[in-house]
Amino acid sequence: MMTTLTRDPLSIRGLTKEFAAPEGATFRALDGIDLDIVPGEFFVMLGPSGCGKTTLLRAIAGLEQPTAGEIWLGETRIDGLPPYRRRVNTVFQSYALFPHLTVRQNVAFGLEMEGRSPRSPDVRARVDEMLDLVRLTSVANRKPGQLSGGQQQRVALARSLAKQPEVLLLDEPLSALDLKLRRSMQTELKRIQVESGVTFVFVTHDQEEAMSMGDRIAVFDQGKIAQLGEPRDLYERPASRFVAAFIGEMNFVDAVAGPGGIRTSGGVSLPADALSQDTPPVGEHLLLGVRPEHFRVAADGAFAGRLVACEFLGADVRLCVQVGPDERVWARVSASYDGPTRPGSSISLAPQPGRVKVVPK
Amino acid sequence: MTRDGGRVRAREAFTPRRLRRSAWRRPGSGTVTLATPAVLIGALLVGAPLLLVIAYSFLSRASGGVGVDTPFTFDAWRRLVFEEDFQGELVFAPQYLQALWRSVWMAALTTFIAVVVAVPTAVWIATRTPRVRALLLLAVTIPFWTNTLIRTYAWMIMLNDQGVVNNTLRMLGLPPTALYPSVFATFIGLVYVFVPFMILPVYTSAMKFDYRLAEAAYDLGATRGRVVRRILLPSLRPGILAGSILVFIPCLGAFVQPTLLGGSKVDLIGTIIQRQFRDSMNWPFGAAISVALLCVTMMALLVFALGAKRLAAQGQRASLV
Amino acid sequence: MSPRRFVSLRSFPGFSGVGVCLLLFLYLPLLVVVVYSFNANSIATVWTGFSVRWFEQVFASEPIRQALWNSLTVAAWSTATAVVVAVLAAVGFIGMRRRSSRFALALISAPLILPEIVLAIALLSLFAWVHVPLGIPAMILAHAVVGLPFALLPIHSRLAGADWTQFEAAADLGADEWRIFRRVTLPMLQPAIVSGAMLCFIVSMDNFVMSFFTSGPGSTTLPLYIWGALRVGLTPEINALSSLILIASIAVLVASHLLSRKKA
Repeated sequence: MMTTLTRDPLSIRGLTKEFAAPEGATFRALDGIDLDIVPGEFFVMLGPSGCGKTTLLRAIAGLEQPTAGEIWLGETRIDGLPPYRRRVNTVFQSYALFPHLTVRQNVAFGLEMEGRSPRSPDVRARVDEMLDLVRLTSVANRKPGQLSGGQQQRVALARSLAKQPEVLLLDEPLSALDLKLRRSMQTELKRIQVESGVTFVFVTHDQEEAMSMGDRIAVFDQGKIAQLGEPRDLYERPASRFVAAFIGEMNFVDAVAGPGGIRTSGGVSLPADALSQDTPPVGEHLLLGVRPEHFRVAADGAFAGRLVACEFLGADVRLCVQVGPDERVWARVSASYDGPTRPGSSISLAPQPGRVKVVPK
Repeated sequence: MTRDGGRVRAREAFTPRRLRRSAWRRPGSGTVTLATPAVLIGALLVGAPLLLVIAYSFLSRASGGVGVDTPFTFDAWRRLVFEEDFQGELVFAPQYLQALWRSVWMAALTTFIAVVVAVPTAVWIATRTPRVRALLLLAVTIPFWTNTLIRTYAWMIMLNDQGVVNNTLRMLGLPPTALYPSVFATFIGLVYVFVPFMILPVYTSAMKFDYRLAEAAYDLGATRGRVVRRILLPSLRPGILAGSILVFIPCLGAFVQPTLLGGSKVDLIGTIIQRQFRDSMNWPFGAAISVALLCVTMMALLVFALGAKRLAAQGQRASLV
Repeated sequence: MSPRRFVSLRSFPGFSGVGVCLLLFLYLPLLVVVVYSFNANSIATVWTGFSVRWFEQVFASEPIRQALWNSLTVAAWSTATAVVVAVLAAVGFIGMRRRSSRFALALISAPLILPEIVLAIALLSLFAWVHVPLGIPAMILAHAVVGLPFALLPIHSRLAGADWTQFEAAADLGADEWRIFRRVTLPMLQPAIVSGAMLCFIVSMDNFVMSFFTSGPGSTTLPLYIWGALRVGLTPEINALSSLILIASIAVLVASHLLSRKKA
């Protein structure tokens, strides 16, 4: 049985990491990051490639030296410690299993490093417990070369968890797996995290993965945190255009607040109650965001125009409507849609009340 | 966050600044000092001795023959080019320069023959099926790793008066000829010993050759000869260049083959140097000749480097390793 | 790669002919040496009959046994030195800047591209200057110098091309530098170490030039013994000894080839 310890929170203060770029300039991968990770949570760091999330993960692990800033694990400051002295373990993207050791020996490796003999009963018991947790007991005596990608990934997980770390860092562990396997592994990881109670810090570029697994998500953009919050918050109240565009799909529309409501640059008029928040002052230029799934086809919808494309996706139908000369919106409706489907037909869409967001620029 | 207690203060000591002073190393790398034994060997057992040889060439012969003695002098260098005639005057003596020249053209000819022989062989091997290729490669590599002395000795047997070649001539009714010791025998010995050094680099290049280029040329109407000359050979240039250095430089300094197969008829730089250090015991002079040999070697390496650079500019990498 | 490629290019005019002739050229003299070592005659080059007496003589010969022992000793020690130094250097190189490590590598590999006779007399000069006595220890040093590049190049290239996350994973799991070296680096380098050691050993056993200039009394190696005998004249004993060495080398090379193929 996994012993639940009182776990320490992971705190990051003002962390900055600069790299020397070829022409003598410096590239700032992380810019003054402040972060508090709650013990026992499944924390996700999300962002496109090059945004700094992996650099931050490696800094927490001790594999990169920050240029400035502090990393605290509870009352202990760890950013000066070498990786083998931190109670933090990593699951690498490439799994990094030791090819000359069996699965069992791989999992026991961390415990050996603590000075315990791999033959002692408590080490064997722990290895068995871990293999059971990731459901790989049957392949315990094989070498990594004889395992599939998914199995290797679970061995890597078992190996890191065996040491009962305070925090487990996962660096895009599922990116090498195919879709179906990835989905089932996502469920597995979530289950294991809950069962073990270990704080997981999970890095990914896949926003669907982040949304489905994370208790809280930090969205990274060019070395800074663009927004931090629960999945629902990020989805419904994106703090910037970047976050709004990165999470889910979003239609962006420029508009101006008028005395009688909002008027978009494409000529669409929206009543004030269409907005998800209070009416902005008159004359203010706004960036509106509407998610495709928040449109429905209605005879008198505000977004009226010509159907440009109609895509059948199985469970949904995607419609593209040209509303103004420069304004085009996408809508996502259920497959039971029976409206116009031929390009060129007239069609109008209505946003669900309160679902038009004002996106902070 | 409250910070109190000795435990926190102890950890505070690990500031990034202090860590930068204690070298943080990537996991898996070692301190640079681990490389010192190797560098020491390179410096003390290769670099320093070479400098010593240069220094020796400016010293005098020691009384016992072994080693050198202090009066600094240009005697050794002078002896390369001049000698004293009966009147005590300095007269131009070309013998050592001739020997140097002889070594150079023999090495060059050996290299040329090696190229002519190794290129078809390497391409032939590279165009076999993988299993045959592995076997042929092994067959070519074995002589490469076998004792050079024995391989030279084998030709002593072959070219002997009663040797295989002469016996065959006798059987054919032709008169037997004294094949060794001679310049010809030395050549055979040099080619025999050094050809495998050429095959492997050229083979590497041949393996990298994209045969679809040849197919395209055939498709456009080129004859086999043209394909070989205009398409295949240029792509083999990096291998030929690397192989040439691996043949030319050892050939320059060879003394086993000239001594065993050439006898007194062949005087090459290698044999001369060897004599100065073992028989005539004139170390400064031997050092001077060695330096001359080194200079020729450096020139050859320079040519190689320039050739490699030109090839690299055209997108082909030539390297010795 | 389609089989078509072989059909259209296999018959380069004369290439296979040259190849076959070259192979014959390379092996014929070796065959002659082996065949003649069974020659009953005491004149090495005139064939009179089949006999193994020369092999018996070789096995009974004390100087040959001593020379073999010396060769093995020098080869073993120089190989051990070269391999240990090479492993340490490879690990150290990773921590150096690229330019420094490339320079060091070039310096250490210099023996590969310099005429061996120059290296030999240079070392001889050094030993004379520092009053190091010539003999087995001097030869071990000389062979180590020549063998080091053969050990260092495969080991260094294996380490430089390694998947670095293995080391990071080991450090992450609690291994300090020494433990990473023992548990991850060494197992990873093992094939390169073995092949580097074999190369070193073979190079040392066959080496003549360096041995020639750094040998002292009582430190005759097999190649030196053969040379000494050859200066006197061709004897059937040398024939037999050469055959034995040839057969042994070929056996070792074929065995290592088969072994490496099995591993792959």
